[in-house]
Amino acid sequence: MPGHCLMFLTADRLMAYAWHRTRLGPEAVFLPDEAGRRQFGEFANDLARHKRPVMVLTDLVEEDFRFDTVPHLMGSERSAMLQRKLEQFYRSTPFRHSEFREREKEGRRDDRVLFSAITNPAWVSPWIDLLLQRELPVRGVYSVPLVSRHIARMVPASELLLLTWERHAGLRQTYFKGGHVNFSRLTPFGAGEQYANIVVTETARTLQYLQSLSLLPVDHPLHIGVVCGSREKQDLAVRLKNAAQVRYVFLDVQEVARRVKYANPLPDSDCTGLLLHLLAQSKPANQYASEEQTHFHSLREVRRFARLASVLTAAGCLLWAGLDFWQARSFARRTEELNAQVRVLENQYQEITRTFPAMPQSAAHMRNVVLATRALAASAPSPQDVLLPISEALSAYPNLQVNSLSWQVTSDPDAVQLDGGRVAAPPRPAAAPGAATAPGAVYRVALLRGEVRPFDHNYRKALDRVEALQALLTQKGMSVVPLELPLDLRPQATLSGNLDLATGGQRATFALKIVQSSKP
Amino acid sequence: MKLTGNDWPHLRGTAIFAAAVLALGMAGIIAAGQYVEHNQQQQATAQEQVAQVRSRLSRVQEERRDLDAYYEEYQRLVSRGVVGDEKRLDWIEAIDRIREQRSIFSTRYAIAPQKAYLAPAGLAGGVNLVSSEMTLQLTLLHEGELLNFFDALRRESNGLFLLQGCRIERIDPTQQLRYAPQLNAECALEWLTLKQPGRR
Repeated sequence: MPGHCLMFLTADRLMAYAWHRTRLGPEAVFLPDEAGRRQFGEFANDLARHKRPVMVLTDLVEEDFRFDTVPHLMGSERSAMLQRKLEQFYRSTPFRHSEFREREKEGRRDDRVLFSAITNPAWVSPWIDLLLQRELPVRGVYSVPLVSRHIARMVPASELLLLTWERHAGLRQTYFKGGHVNFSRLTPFGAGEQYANIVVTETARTLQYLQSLSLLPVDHPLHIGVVCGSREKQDLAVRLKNAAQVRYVFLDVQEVARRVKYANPLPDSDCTGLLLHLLAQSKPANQYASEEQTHFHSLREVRRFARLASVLTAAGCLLWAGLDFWQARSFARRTEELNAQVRVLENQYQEITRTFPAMPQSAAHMRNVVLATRALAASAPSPQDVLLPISEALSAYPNLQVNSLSWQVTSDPDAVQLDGGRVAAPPRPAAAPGAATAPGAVYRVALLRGEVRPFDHNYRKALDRVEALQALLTQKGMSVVPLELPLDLRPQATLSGNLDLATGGQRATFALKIVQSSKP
Repeated sequence: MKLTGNDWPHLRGTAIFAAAVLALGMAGIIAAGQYVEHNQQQQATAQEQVAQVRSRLSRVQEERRDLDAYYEEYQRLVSRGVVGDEKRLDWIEAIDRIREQRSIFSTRYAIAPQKAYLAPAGLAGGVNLVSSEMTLQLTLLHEGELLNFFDALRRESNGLFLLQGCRIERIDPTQQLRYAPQLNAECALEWLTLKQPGRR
């Protein structure tokens, strides 16, 4: 697809070039007459078919530069003021331009602005009109001084007079101060004139002009950069000598081309191709074209931006969708793993249930029944559990005879009334611990009734034996409460007896409440 | 730059292109979002299934362990009549048989109507229990016969009983006859039966 179309416009022709990265390809040359414009119209039709953007580089004598100071304003006010100035200076041409230079250091600190214009629009308008009729995107109309600043930067000087030669325009002299264009003038070549002669003559004339305007630097020489081919360089080096006020710098056009990566051959000092290449490469902002003239280019930029933005947005959407898709795939993989896990677990489940016997009840019920049965069986004591410890203790006291023994299993030993017998307070402080109940404990409460046999009427001895039995039972871990003793010695009790009777009819009976505890 | 209605033909193609491309992108996002949602739901369902199957497997493993530990003992309880319907005739026959074997002087019994059994806390384990209280009156030669009687009853009877208490009284401390009854014993027993719940 063809790229930009670069047009070089001089007073006597318009040359069209195709530009691609480092090379320029000449496409056509049109003369400023009826036939030339008709041919240009056809050429423009072809450009329109390919929708190629156009950049026009002018190199005309009728280009004016002037400085002015304007108040330092911002925004739309500044634009309106500059527009008024342009209207004031260059009323007759639409090809005008303003460029901020610097801000004054004193006074109101106004802005110093360079105003320039192509003062004769008739050189440019017919060509531009033909392009606009075909709705071609005109990127801008530029002038050689603007583009040649890229060459001027190659000379390290604050003030520089740069000389370039464009074959079909003439010798262009542009005065740069601080890297910015201050003024520029074009000297067309007459027939048969030599480049070196013109350079020598015009340089002297320009120096005279600068001197008259007191623009020559006072403390250092003015650098004059001459872009020329190697052959012309030798000739010029002989004829142009450095002086106190001037210093010549010869810029080899080949070297300049190499530095700006321009690949077309340069047989002589002609800078046309080089300047067009610099224009296309740097793509500066529009200089002279009006907003109406760049309208189709602006539309083209809007289209490009809209397409780029929509493509980027769509790419973002697709990236988002791709991430979603990737996430969905990871979900799917995890689902497959889980399904495989389900199958494995189901198989394990089936394997286990296959071995189950036919069961009328659930396994949990069976477990509960078995555990409950075990617990209940363990909670109920056998007669041995109750009788054996008491029997062992009694065997140590053969003259204590048991008349009755009753026992009961309970969780509250205090509430037990085994035979309705009265509870007697102990005649002496009880050695046995109290039968404090513990939660969940099961108690075996026994009531032992007996008597001392044979009884020799010795109550002290009888009491001692009963207390000894009580102590032994307590020692075996039982809680013993005497309910009845051979003789009630409590101070609050009524005590009576018949001491006349030595023997016979007297019994030394006793009753003990024995509490054994065991965890269920 | 100012746009006018005349510019629309220049921008129409781009607008259509942008709309189409954006629609494509949005469609991609929506489709991918739905795909994600669908797969996420599938994963959630699969996770739920895993949890359910794991829970079922855990239950069945626990059942397997219970069966290994308790099935045979449970079957023995069923065959002994501890589980199921009360077997009063079996109890009486067992008491009679022991009385004959042990030559116990006298044996009387009384069985109260069946009632719900309130087991001590933590013992019943949620099992539905009923009990029948039996009062046994025995005339014995010595205390050892009582012990032997209950040992035999525990061993030979079809059922589970809890001995709640006894009262033993010497008949006549002065009596010197060697083979005469020496003791009267009265004991209270709870015959426990575990009710079968409905078949599972």
